[in-house]
Amino acid sequence: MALPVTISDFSFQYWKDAPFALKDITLSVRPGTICALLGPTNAGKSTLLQALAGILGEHHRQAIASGTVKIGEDTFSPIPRNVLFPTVGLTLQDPYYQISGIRERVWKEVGLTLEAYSLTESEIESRVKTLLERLGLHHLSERKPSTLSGGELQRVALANILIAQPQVLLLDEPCHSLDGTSQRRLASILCSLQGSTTVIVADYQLDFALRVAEQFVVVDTGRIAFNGDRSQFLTNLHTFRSLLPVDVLEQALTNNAVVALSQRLIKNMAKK
Amino acid sequence: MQIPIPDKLSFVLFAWICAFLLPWQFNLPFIISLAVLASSWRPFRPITPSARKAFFRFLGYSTSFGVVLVIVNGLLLREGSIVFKAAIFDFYCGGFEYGLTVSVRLVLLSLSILVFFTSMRFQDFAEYLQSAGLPQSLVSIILLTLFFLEQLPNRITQVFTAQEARGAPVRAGMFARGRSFFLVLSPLVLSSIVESVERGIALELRGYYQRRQVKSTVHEEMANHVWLYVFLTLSLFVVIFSIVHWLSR
Repeated sequence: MALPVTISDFSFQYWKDAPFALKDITLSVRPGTICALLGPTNAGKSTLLQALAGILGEHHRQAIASGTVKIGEDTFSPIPRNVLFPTVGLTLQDPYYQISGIRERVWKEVGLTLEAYSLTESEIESRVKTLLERLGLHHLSERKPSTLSGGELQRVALANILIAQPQVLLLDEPCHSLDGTSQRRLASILCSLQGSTTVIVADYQLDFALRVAEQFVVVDTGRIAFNGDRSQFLTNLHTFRSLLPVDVLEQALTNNAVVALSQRLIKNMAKK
Repeated sequence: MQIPIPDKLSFVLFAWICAFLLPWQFNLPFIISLAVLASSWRPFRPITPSARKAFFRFLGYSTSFGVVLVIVNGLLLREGSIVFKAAIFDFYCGGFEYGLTVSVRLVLLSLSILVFFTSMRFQDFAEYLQSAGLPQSLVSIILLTLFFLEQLPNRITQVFTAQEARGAPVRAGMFARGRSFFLVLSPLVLSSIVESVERGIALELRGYYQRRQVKSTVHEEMANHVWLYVFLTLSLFVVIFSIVHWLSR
């Protein structure tokens, strides 16, 4: 079951006297929705995701943090001090690092996550097979992970996390090494999670965010510059000219793809 | 036939004891027989073509290194009688002996480890370490190091190709190759440390370190390890022989 994520007055410094990586962040993500966390590099997107996953609290004990993070019924003040997997799953920016290197086949690499639980090998195999089919990765299941391309690695890295069925899924720049087709595939995977998993996607690519997200948060130098839904975001798009590659989107507005997107948007609004 | 991992480990122990305690006259035939075994006997044979290539390449390099070490020691370590003269250079028997002892020892130490790792899958090694009751974090450190070593030749080739593409003569002759190799090696090792940390974090994010500790099963299976007892007995025999030999001198 998807969990709500609530962050209240959250500030974070990596050490005393360091500049604020995140400052006064207040954010609420409804359960089962997809939230896009947008902003330029060094805005604090990855820091926020790592704080939610618990990896920041675990590895930066000397850090200065204040505020509250609430995931489902669990309140962490200021942040979780341990990795919250499998409740919260995080995929990192570079998929290459997310391949353990200790399993020789893709399906075994994905199954490695499940080895922490009391499951038999056949149970693990069947679960992995089902997930790989769902993600369109079944043709890679016998391949050696280190021989996969960037896009394939990205999807395997996602499978590594999804196999444990996290209630909150955090994705750090998932389109980092994906071509157009792979991005569309990833978007459809994320859309299929709507309702069952709360997803937060940190990215700088507007087109991908527009394809999947319902809620849009723009972060700039550790502060929230915007928080709103799709229509509010599109209305205010011009105000993010300095933060986001808005030109790319505006240029694309003439393209059929975005026209179709706008039509879908209008349809959705009409439904509401 | 396949030898279990503890038995192979006991073989490495035996090879190391021989390398440190026995003279080069014994260790040199040992190295030759190890090379023959690695190419003919299944339990010691490298399991993949790339591992096989790496093994025999290492054998070639280490033999060249050994020959250089012997010649340099024969020339510089002026002990014992002169074996032969070449132009203005005198080569001494004591120097040759010392060079042979050192190079044969180094080659045997490294070759036994190489045989151990090339003749099995990392996954089996990981499973063995877990069944032996080692903490997950320690197992992951060992495996990440092994993964880096496996990837190293490919990454060096990639860096060389990238440098060649921008006109750097990194493969132009032995000297350029050697110089480029050492220049590339240190940044690669440093980046591998960063990479290992990242990979460790990624494993942590997948709950790898939350896994339950596997109950040690090594002791329960000991009865089936014939080779383990053979190599341990041989190791003990070598140690006793060396002590007796040392006392009787």
